[in-house]
Parts: sequence; C-alpha cells; structure tokens
Amino acid sequence: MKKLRIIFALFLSLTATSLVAQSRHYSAASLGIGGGGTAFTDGYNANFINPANLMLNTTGRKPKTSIGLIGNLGVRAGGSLANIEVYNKYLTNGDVIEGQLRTNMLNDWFGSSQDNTRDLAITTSVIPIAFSTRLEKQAFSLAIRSKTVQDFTLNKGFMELAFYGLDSDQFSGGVPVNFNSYTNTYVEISLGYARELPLPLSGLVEAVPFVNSMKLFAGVAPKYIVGLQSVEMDFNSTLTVLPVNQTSNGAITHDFEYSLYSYGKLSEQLAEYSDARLTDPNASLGDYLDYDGSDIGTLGSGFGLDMGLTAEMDVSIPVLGFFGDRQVLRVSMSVTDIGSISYDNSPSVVRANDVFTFDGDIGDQGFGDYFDNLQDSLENDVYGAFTSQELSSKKYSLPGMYNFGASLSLGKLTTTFDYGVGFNNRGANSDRSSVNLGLEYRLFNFIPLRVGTRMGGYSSNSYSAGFGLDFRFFEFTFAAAQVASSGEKGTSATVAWSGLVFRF
Amino acid sequence: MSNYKLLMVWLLVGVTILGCELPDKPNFKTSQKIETPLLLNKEYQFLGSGNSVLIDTTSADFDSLFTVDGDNFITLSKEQEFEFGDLNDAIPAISASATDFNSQVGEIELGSFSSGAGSNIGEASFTDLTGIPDGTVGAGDPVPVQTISPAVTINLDTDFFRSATFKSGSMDIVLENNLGFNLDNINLTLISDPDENVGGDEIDIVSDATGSVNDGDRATISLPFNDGDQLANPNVRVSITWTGGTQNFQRTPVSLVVVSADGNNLLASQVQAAVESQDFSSSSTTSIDATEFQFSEPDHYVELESGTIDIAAINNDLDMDIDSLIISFPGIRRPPYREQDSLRIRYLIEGGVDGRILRGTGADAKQRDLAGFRIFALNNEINYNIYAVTENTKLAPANDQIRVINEAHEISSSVQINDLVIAQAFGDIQPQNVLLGEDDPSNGLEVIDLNNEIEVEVTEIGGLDQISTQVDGLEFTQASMTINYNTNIGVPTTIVAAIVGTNGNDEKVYLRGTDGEREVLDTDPITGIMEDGVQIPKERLVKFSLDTSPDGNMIFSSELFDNNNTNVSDFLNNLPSEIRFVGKAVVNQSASEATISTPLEFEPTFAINLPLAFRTESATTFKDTIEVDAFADFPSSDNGDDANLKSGELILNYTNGLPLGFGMVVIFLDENGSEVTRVPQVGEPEFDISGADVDDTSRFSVSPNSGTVQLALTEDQLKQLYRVTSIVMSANLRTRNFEEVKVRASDTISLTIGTKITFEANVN
Repeated sequence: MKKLRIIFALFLSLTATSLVAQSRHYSAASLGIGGGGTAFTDGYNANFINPANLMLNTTGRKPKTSIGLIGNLGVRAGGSLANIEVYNKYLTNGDVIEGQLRTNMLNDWFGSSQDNTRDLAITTSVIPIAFSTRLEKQAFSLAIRSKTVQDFTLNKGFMELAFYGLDSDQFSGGVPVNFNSYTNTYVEISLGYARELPLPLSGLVEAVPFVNSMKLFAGVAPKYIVGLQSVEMDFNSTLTVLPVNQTSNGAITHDFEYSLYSYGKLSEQLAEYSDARLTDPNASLGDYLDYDGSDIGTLGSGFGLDMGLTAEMDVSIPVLGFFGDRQVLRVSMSVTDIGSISYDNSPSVVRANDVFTFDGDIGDQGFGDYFDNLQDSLENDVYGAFTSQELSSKKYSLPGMYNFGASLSLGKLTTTFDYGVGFNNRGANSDRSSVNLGLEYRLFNFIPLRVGTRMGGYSSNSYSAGFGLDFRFFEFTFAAAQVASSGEKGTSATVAWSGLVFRF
Repeated sequence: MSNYKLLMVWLLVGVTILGCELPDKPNFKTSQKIETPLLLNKEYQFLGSGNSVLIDTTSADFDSLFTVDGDNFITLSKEQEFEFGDLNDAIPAISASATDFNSQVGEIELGSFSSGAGSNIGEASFTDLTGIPDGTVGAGDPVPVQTISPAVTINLDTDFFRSATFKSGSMDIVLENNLGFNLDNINLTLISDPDENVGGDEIDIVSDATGSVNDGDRATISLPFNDGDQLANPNVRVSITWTGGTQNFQRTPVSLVVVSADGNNLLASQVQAAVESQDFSSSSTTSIDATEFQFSEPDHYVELESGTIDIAAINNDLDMDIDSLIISFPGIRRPPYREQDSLRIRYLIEGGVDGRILRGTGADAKQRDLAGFRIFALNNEINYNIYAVTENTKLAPANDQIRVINEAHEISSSVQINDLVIAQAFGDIQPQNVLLGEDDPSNGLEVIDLNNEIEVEVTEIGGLDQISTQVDGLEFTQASMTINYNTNIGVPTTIVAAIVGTNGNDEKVYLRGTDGEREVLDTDPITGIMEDGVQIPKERLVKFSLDTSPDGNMIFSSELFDNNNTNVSDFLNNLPSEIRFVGKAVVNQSASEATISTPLEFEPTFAINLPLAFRTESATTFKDTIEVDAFADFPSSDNGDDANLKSGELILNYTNGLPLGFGMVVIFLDENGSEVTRVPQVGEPEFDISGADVDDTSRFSVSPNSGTVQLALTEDQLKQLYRVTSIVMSANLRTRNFEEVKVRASDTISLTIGTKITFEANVN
C-alpha cells in the first residue's frame, strides 16, 4: 500500500511538474496514456516512435502479424494562442470587451508587449495502410503515413486590431501587426526493421536486483518522404491610425513586409503575375492565380529516419503479485523524424515591402470609383505588389525529437513514463521538454482503459483518456487529450482512432 | 485485488476528465471602432468633366445642357427640334369645274358647183336662140335683125351640187358668146328644179343680164341669194338680144356656152353638195374655285406640282371628217410660260398617227399631264379655243362627194382639269389656318389637342427633370427662350400655339404672350387648340410671326421670348423636363398678293437659355433622393443581429467657393418612404455650409468660406438604419440676402470628410 501511495505521489508530482511536451507520433493507444509510448507502442506504429518496439508484444497475447487500415487517424490542435483559461475568464461572461477589461484580457493572453506572439499548431495524420510482423529474433514492418503540419502565429498587435478595430486611441503610435503561417503536407513511406541484440556483459543483468531477465532490441525505420504541398508566409507590419476630428483629418498607415514561399504551379503563377506587373500596371492577381492542385505529389521529396533501442526486463517480484503474475519493465529511447523534405519543383519566394497610407486623398478619381477600386488596388497595387525570386530548393526539417520512455506492465495494468524533447518547433513540435505519464488497465483483457497526462511541450499540461476493444486479433480503440489549464502555454486538444487493426 | 486495480483505473479516468480544462460557451461583446478618412481636400469644380466636378457635363443626362462663356459664366442651354413636317396645307387648293364644249360647223361656204367648171357645163344652140337654122349663115353674112327673142333653158352640169339653203352670197355664172356675132344683152334666170323627174316644179330664183357681149367674149353674171333662198338642181334660162343689119357674122355661129357656176361668198345654212374644207372655231371657259386663291391680275398663276387635263371623247355630228382639231388653252403654259408656250391638244394626222375625228365615230378621250405647267386664270377662269378644219369632200370618191351638211352640225366634248396640286402660287392667297403637325381625326378634324400623342409635338429636355425634381424655389433671373426656325414661307404667317412645360414634379406652366405681338386675342383663330378636349383659353397661348422668305428659299430666323414679351421666366423657372407644343399657322391673314411654294417648310427648334444667374427665395430647397442598399447590411439588434452600431459620426471640413450656402438635413426613409430618422433631429439647427462672398457688381463669388460640419447619429438612430432604403439630402439653398448670384463653371467647393463608427458585436 505504501508503494501504491508512492506511485500515486510520483504520478501526481509529475503532473504538477512544469516539464513540457511534443509532436511525438501518437496512436489511439499512446494518446490514451498521455501521448508517450516510447517503451509501449508496438506493431507498425513503432516505425514512427521507436522501431525497436517492433519486437514487442506488450500484452503477451498479440499474434505476430498485424495489418492496419485507415489507422491512427488523429488530429491534434493547440498552442499558446488557444488559451482556454483566458477565454473562459473573459469571453464567456457576457462582458463587453472594452476599456480596462480589454487591456487585461490581451495582457493575460499575450503578455504586456505588443511584440509577443502566440501560436496555434494543427497536426493531422493518418496511416492508411500498414503491416508488421514479428519473428523470433527480428521484425519487419511497412507503414505509410500522411501528415499535415500547420502552424499559425500571430502577435498581440494582430489581436488588438481584432478587438479594437481601427481605433486611433490604440494605434495612433504605431502597433506591430504580425502573423506567420506554415503548412506542410507530406506522405512518409516507412520501412521498419528490428531485431534482438545479444546482451553485452552476460550475467551482469541478472545480478541487478528485481531483474530476472532482460532482452535488448534495436530497430531502425528509414522512410522516403513525398512532399505534397507546402506554403509558408511571414507577415510583419506596423499599423498606425490617426484620429478623425475637427483638427485632424485622420489617416491609416500600414507599413508592411512579407514573404511567401510556394512551389509548383502556385509558385509559377505568382511569378508570372510579378513579371506581368513590370509591363502591365493593370495586371490583376486574380487573373493569374488558378491553382488546381494537379501538381501535388511532384513538389518535393526527402528521406527520414526513425530508430531506437528497447530493453525489456522481467522484474516479477512476489510483492507486486497482486498486479499480476508477470511484471515487465521496458526502457527505451529513440530518435524520430530525423531528416528533411526538399521542395524543388519551381520553388520561389515572393516578397513585398511597402507603406500603404489611406488619408482620403483620392486624387482625380471619383469618390465612388475610388472606393469601388480600392479592393482591387489593395490586392494588386499594394499588398500584391510583390517581387518573385526563384529558389533552387526549400528544405524543411522534419519535426525530429529525442524520446526516452519506460513502461512497467503489471499483469493487466501498465504504467508508462516518457520524456521527449524536440529538435525544432515545427507544428506541435517544441524544443521544450515534455514528460508523459500513462496508465492502462485491460479490463477483461480486451477492453483497455487508458489515462495519462502530458506536461510541457508545445502547450499547457494535458490529460488524456482512451478506451476501446483490443482483442488478440482485432483492435478498435479511441483516445482524446485536453489540457488541464491553458493559462500559461495555451490549450491542446487531440483525438485519435486506431483504425481497423487486424492481427493474425 | 483485481477490483482494487479497476477502481484505481476508474479513479484516474475520473481525475483525467475532471482535470481537463474545457471551454465554456462563448458569451461576450466586442467593441470596435473604425476611424477613417474618406476624403482629403477634394476640390470639386461646379461644372466640367471628369470626377472632380459637381456636375459632369459629359454625362448622358447633361449632354449639351451647359455652355460656358469666356468669363466661365454658365448658361444652361438646350436645343430641341420639333418636327411638324411641312405646312403644305397652307398652299391654296384649287379646282376647276368640268365644262362641256361644242363647236358648230356654222355657215357652209360653197365654191364651184361643177367639176367641169372652166370649160362647158351647159350651152344653148344658135338655132334655139335665133330661130335661124344651122348652116344657113356663115362668116361675112349679115346678121339679120332680131325678129324673135326665145328663152332657152340650159341644164347645167352641177355634179358638186344637189341643193342648198342659202344665207347670203351669190352664184357667179360665166357665159361665153360663141354665136359668131355681137350681142347687146344676155338675160339669165337661175332656175331651181327640186325634182328633175317632175315637170312644172321649177322655180325661178333670180335673174340678171350681162349687157353686150361680143363674139368670143365671156361675161359673168352674179346672182345674189337672199337668206332662205333654196336651190336644187340648178338650171339657167337664157335669152339674148342683138342689133341686126349693121354687123356681119364673124364666123360660123355655134352656141352660147355656160362656162362655170361658182359660189361667190356663197354661204348656206344647209347643203347637199360636195364641199371644200370648212373651218370653224369656238371658245369656252372653265372656272377655278376662288375660295383659297384669287387670280386678280393677268400675271397671277399657280404652278402645278401635279394635275391632269382630260378631254372627253369627241362626238362628231358632221357628215364629214374633221381633218384637224386643235383645242388650245392660252392660260395653261409650260416653261418658260410665254403665250406661245400654251397648251394645245391636237387631233390630226401627225407623226404617222391618224388623229383625225372621223365622221360617225368621233375621237377617243385624251389626257395631258399638267405637272410643271402654270395656270394663268385671270378672274379665276381658264379659257380655251377650239379650231377645226373639215375634209374637202370634192376630193372624196365620186360617189361619196355629196354630203348633207347643216350649219348646226357640231362636234362636242368636255374638258376637265383634275387633281391639281400646287407647287407654287402667285396671287391673292386667301387666309389659311393650318395645323402644325398631324391631325388625328379621332378627336375631330381641324382639332389639335395637347394631350393627343399623335398631334402634339413633345420634346424632353434631359437634365432639367433631374434639376426640377431636386430644386424648388430657385429663380433664374435671366431666363429666355428662343424659337429658331428655318422656313421658306413667303407669305406673312403667324403661329398661334399652346406651349406647356412640365417639370419633374408634374407641374405645368403655359407659355403666354404678354406684349402686343405675342399676346393672343379673341380675334385670333384659336378654335380647335384643345387640352383634353377642352378649348385652351387665350391666356394660355402665345403667338408670334414668322419672317418671310423673299424668294421661296429657306431662311433662318428666330423669335426671342423673354420677360418683356412672355412669361418665359415662369415657364423656364419651372425647369420643364418636357415641353408639349400644338399650334396653328395662320397664313396670309391679310389675303394680300403673295408667292407661296411647296414644300412649305417650318422647322422650329426650341433653344432654352438659363444663365446660372439666380436668386433664392426664402424657401428654396434642393432635394435629392438617393437609393441605397448598403444600409440593409447595417447590424442592429432590432433586426435580430448580434452586432449593434453604438455611434456614428461624420466630420466634414469644407471650403466653399460657390456663391450659395446650404442648410442641410439628411432624412433616412424606409421602403415605404416613411421617415426612419433624420439628422439633425427635429428642433436642432441644420448643418450649415456657408456660401462664398459675392462681388456686389459682378455677382460672382470672390472669396470662399470655410467651416466644419459634424454629423452624429445616436445609438437609437443607428439601430434603425437597417430599415433605410433611401436617403433624402435636403438642402435649403440661399444666396446672400436672397439677391442674385452668378455661378461660374470654375467655382469650387473643397471637402475633407472623415468618419468614426463604433459598433458592438455579440458573440454567444
């Protein structure tokens, strides 16, 4: 009982720890236990989190071969922009968002500086088809994963524009209004291989207390990546609104610069428009943009690698017999999403840098004509007055991360612990460390009940739960995760579905 | 233990779910302000083209409506044509009555009675005349003393003559003495033998004697006839006397010969004879209606655009062919209209065509085209002459030479002049009242109605309707209207017209003459000038006289209507967008001598001149209703929207160089035209835009005035804006002290406009 309390205390203390988390591959099972799974996820999902786990049979009941259809369909959205705490505090009470209340809300959301940014990341992934088989000493797998990573970042000034409008009281001194958007969609074809490694220092392991035996597995999953489409935009500006009154005629000034990376036909169309503007001042962007997506699949490619090690130890001890007859401890580490995608089909970047001032000086135009033409003018002559620069290629790193995990299976009960840190901040990936704790209880051995938490990473701490049916021959499970408090790092919401997993 | 593990899992699941942060239902309001300039020092010129003008003279509505002089002074001018067509109805109509004519052959002149005239048409022998047997005397023998004096009848060979009833003249009988001795006298008696087969019916007609006739000589005895003397199968009875014993026979005696028997001016009323050509003639007259045109002088004429003269079939009662018949019309002449150019219609053999009038058959009818002819018809009468020449029957076959001819035998026919259309007339033209435009018979003939679309001439003056619906109470001080016209009318002509102008508000003003020349009197022919079937009173009519063309060619002239002669100021200050015009042309009211020609043209053009020199009355307003659909998108909680406009403000800074000030009110109307709200609200002062200062002499603006107008709407007003479908811009216009001002095209107003809008949006 004391040990149980110790476990609970450890669990709760980790829940409160301000470590943080990641864009680790998640399945319905791994999401249910908090998003970890470095030492827990087996089958073809191991390709993307720890290929060494291809050798695992975590329940001890799973057949050697599994096939997944439309598997691991999941959506993860969240980030510091999605701050539910601020939302609930200010935007659910019927208040008019004005005056000091508006100031407080934006400060709570973005902090005091108008340069502060908040982001929102959305990752969707699906494994339409996958296969894995586990042999005596080695295992193989093939999995195809489609993934879209979206990241949207905006600054406080942007949100001030939304809540103040064109208010000279707020913008007369000039306010930065910035946003950044990144979208990358790609397909990974991953081939996994794992095998059991001979234990070094034979006999030493058995000498470790509580360890009855140990196996060591290593796995690697190289993957070929097809870049489907990617767009990246970075927009920075300063907005100034002068007052309209009897002594001031008012003016709206927008000093802006932006860049937009694009590829394929979209890139070509933007370049054509840019070229056309050099000779035709009446060129209209709408006349040149007609992207139909027919070049998807030809835009970019790359290679990636996932690899890992897992040590599986029999730590059955009588004192834990109430959990089950067999206790297994697995300790793993992996490096995932190492590699990049290179977009080399007509890559280009368009850039614009201009100052738009609207002061009511309509020149020789008629009043109605001026405002009728204003939208076209803004589209083509102001914000559309960009120059296009060809690139040789544009490379995007995969959301790579380092993972360390452990799982302890006590009969029907399994607990997990994961640590991870991202190598970059793509999408939901974060270079802030994260810790995941999870627990699974297999009711009647085929109904997994899973709970977990994630601390750190790209958003605030989250809780997750999952359940479903997991027979020996078939799996059909769900999981969802949500943050506990989004006040500091924003919210995160994730759902996952195992898809149809057949085992034989 | 298993249950304990399960409980632990459930507890964790519960903690997880309860520990998750879930978003509540959104419920808040945004409060946003939009503060933006709309115009910055935008200078609008009063008149011009392009976007920086208040009135774009190049727009379709104002096309050609404005003219600008060298001082940039603007005149609102418009010319519109009326198309009445020609006034040919003013050309007098003439017609000629049909007249029958006949021409009798008259007295028949007889010539030679015999084809053997000149040699011997009868003789009396020596024996019969002297009782001395033939062969008993010869040349040298003494002529015995006359012992007997027998009368010897000589049957004359008169194959050209059967009978006749004479009217005058005589018969000359030539005798030749072939008796061989000289005679002292020859007595001759003309005997008529009505029936050669009946004896005893002979009648002595006339007797005479020759006097002495030597042997071998001829002597003529002229036997006169009295009117009514009849002669048939003429014979002569002769007797001779001589002196014997003193003369000898100069040759062997033969006979006393009748050499010839010829008429000498011998006229008969009837003959049965072979006659030589007879000519006869007659004259006749046909009359021209004098109702509309009077030929009072020999040189008066009408020149025909078209028309025909028809000669009916000619009847020939004579037992003779008419070898030649000429009907001549001395007053109908072809160019160049001299007397010798008169119209002649001939019946004869001409050009190989036998046009003679044969006995028993007559001649077919004839028609001649009179287009281009002039008719000179003094006293409105057209004279014509008929001259005929008959055949010479002596040239006819022997068995067809004798004809029975009575002096009353005639040829007859009729003359008809038809379908006369006059191209030109010179003479005494009777006064004509001619409708301008088409006469619709549905409302009666010679009646024209202002509201009959067939009869009325309507012209629309684009641009004025817009002004008239928008401006009320503006008085243009120098308004005038000119009727420019082209005409070729050479006779004094007066137009009496109803001219009504209707403005955009359906208000009518009739143009009315106010001086002696333009004012319509009771004596003027105004009957038939109607409006909706009711006679228009003279007080709503105007008249004016046209200048006359001296030579029938088109001339240009104009008639000015100004404040001195008409109520044109009222008429044009009504700002008519439509002018309707009906009228009559009173042609040659004095019936004087004149020349008039077709086509009779009157092509008027209305030229309206409204110099932009005006003054405002105390209640002068400008109203413009603008349809707007943008308000339908204005958020309002009253319309169930989640957003509400809290405040709206328009700040207008102006520099007004126009010599007009404005007191403005903006009225917002719903789809039914009902007022939704207005700014400023009732009881509040109008938004005031001061006019520029004006030069006392030139009345042009000299220095602009500046100011600020702040237009603010309350939240309650803004909530109602979603109902607004139109707005009325109402401006009380004012000139300084309500005095005249003049507007130049170059006058400007400069505007700076900014707006502030605050709105709330509910999110829940």
